[in-house]
Amino acid sequence: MNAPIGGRPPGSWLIRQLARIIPRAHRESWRDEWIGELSHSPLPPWRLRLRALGAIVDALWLARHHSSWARLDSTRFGHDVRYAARSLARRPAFSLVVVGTLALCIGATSSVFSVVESVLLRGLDYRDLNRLVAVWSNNAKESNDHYQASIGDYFDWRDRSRSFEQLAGFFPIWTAAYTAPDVAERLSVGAASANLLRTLGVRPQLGRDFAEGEDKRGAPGVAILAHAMWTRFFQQDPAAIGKSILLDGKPYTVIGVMSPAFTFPQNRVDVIVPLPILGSYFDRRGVHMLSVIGRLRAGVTIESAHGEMESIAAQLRTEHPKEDAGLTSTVRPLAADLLGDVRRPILVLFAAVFAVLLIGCANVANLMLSRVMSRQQELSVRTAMGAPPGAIARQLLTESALIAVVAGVLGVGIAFGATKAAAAALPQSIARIGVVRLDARVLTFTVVVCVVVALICGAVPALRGARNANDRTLPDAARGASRSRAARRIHSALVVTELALAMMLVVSAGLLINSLTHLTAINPGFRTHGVLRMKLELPDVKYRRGAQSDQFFETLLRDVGALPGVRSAAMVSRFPLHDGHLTSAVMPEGMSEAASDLLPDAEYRKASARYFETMDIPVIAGRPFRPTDTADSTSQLVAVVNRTAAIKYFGTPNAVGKRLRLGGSQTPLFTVVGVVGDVREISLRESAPPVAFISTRQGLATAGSIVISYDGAPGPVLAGVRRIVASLDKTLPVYDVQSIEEVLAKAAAGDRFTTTLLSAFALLALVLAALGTYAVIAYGVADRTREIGVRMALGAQRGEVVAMVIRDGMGLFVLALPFAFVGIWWANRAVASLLFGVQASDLSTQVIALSTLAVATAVACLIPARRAARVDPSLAIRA
Amino acid sequence: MPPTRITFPTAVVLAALSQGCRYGFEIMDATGLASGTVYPILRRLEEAGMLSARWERAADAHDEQRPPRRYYQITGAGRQAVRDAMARFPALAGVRPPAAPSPT
Repeated sequence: MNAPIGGRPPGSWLIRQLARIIPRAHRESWRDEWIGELSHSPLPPWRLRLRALGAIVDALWLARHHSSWARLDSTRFGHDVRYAARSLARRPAFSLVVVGTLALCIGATSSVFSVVESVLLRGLDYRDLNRLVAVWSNNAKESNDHYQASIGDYFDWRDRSRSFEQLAGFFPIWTAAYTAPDVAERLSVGAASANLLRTLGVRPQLGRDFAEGEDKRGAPGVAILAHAMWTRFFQQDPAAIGKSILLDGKPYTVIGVMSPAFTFPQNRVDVIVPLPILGSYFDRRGVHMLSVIGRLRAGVTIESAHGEMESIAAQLRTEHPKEDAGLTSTVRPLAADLLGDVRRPILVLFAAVFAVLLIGCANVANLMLSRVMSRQQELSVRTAMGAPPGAIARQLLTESALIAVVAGVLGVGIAFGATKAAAAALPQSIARIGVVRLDARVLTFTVVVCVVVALICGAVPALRGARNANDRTLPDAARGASRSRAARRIHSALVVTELALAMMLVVSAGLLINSLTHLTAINPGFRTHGVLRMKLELPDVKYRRGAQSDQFFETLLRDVGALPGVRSAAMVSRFPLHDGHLTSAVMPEGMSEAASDLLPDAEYRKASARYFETMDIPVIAGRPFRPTDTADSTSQLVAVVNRTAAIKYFGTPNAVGKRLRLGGSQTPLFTVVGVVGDVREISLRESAPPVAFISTRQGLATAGSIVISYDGAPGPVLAGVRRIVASLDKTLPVYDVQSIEEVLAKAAAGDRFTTTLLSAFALLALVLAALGTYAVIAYGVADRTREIGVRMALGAQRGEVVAMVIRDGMGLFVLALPFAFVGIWWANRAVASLLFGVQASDLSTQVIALSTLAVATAVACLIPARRAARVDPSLAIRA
Repeated sequence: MPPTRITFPTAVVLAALSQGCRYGFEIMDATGLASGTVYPILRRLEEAGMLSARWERAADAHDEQRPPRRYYQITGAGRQAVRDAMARFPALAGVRPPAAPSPT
């Protein structure tokens, strides 16, 4: 059967597509020939399609043959690349060192850039970010200008302000038990006002946003799932919309699913639910827990919004004199607010890795320059045979470009691995903001870096090579006569740059190491080994606060305490260095409200009888809680305070017997029965805040951390706890399990991350700078062999020759010092805010760091110095 | 004009043309070479002057309601190249035009 007559033969689509790459002059003829053949052939369609595939080769051949690139290829470019590849392959050691150095530097730069890109550039993917602001209460008495709003205040702000298109409130760190058949898990919940997503300028990927009024008390429960939760529990089934899920035993209808790119402000959450999930907090104006974000109306400035919020705060102070006493308001750009604490370390790391890249480039430029000088004969031969200087320069630039391309490809591989490792090691403060990964922007950045690297590394050698090849006569070059002073100056300048940058990095790393040592050496005030903590929460709908919850925890702690290896078990509402702030106003007995308003709030904790014993927190005065401190009407309400609280509120460390109110003049008086030692509650860096403990029984606690001190292995203890909890209530999840070592490690994770990376960069910088020094000194020694020979023939001792060479090397070090001091001054300002327990100007750190580098430089000079000392004068002079 | 290297496949294509094959698919049928090999060789040989090409008369093609086909013909230089190649590659003697040429 013939091909379809008049119609399109099989394979004609491919031919038409391929015709696009054929030069215009040949296009029509090429297409017609193929279509003609395909139309004539009696072959079955599948064989025709197979034959049409040959047109790909044909088209590529023609395109290449007729393009200007092909002409360039055949005349210059291809030749240069092939020549460069052969020339690099001839010296595998040299190629390996330069490609390896650059690959490492490019890989490190790209992976740090991936963090910069995902956290600082892409992290806040909200519409018109510059119109978004964070609105905080400003609590003057605690010098806290990041004080959250109470839910009542937030609704008043929202109703009264005119500066904002939207004003949204949210609590990012709520948790709820999610129960479904075969599932009992704690989820991280973002409690939000109905307009949060509209304020941020984002929409659910699936389903709908919250409607106005769905954040009012009594509205039916609705929930929007994070993409990860939709994937995990619903396998991305669109039918999840409309389903009901149980959170803390209450039903919520799923109305939407967010896109994977969405990040909830301040925390990664599994599900977003309207504010009423916060339960009783919803109505308590004294509890300040909401973060507030506003979208400014067009034309409204931050200053005018701030003015309006100040006047609203003044109204609220009058209307709610107790809860809002001393509160003003602050309005700040959201980006600066959310990224404030992470921007600095990331930028410091980026600057550091960039310095390492520069050092790497200087090193490679140096090596390439040395190599160009040693290839003088070859280049002179090429010049003598008619190669113009431009061709020599182009050839040398092609070599550096080839090196940069190969290093870039390897660097991307290194960055891929390093980025994965970095994403896993990132501290929570950074990781919460964006997903760190290599994407198109990072790859584009890498390509730009490669181009810059090729230019930096190649330009100087190319220019020198071209000039020298032109200037030098063939016999000169062949004799390998003394090399130019200018080349030596370039070498030295490059090494001085490397040394100065390395000094800057080593000093910064030294300061951070010193700071981390101080931080981890801090005594947090509690037992630092053999303690486990985990969370447990009794759902309100199932357990009545009081007798029922008391009974549960009493049985649990008794049974856990009886497990083999367990020394004691206790419970606390918020665990130090883990759960963050929850504060309460404090009013010592006998003090006026006005006077107590000036006192700082206390961190408010509920602790069970054996908490202080379990955590090894010393009881300085009085007694710890007892099982008899119950909510029973016959029991006295008791409190334990820490040392700082005793001094701040009562002016004495021994406050036993004193009484105080927690939360205002209408609240009951608690009698202080004990004073305990200070503990780092919030972070390792912050000294202990005042803390007021009440007993879990009197505080009607239904949730918190179970704390267990034990001897031996933690595994059996944890298994025992899970077994006991399951025997009491199968549906209760035990979650967020950590050893005390993990708590402490996490508390220092951010510092450790920055310090480790910066130290690694500093070490790399030190090694590269030492290698650079070595290369230059070795090159100098080779260059001056004859001179050294003459000196030795004239009576110079080997020791003197060694000293002379080392002096040359150390001369470079001294030359680098003034530049380094400028760099160090600048770097110190950048790292100062990251330091703990050490001043940026710390002299001993600087001396140690610079001495380390001096020793490294001296060692780098030693090998060429010993080689110089072994020069045989008779051979050297004849050479 | 750049000299054309006469590789074995190139010699095979030249031999097929000298045996009377006239267009790409016919050469493929006669030689068993793939289309991705035959066409670039035809381009190079044409550029080197070893064969010439012409389009089928439009009227003939139109009568049969199909597009015209491109025919190749070996030149004197091509014949000389075939002779040289025959000496180098005795296996070329086995190249025959297809037994039943496809209808045009």
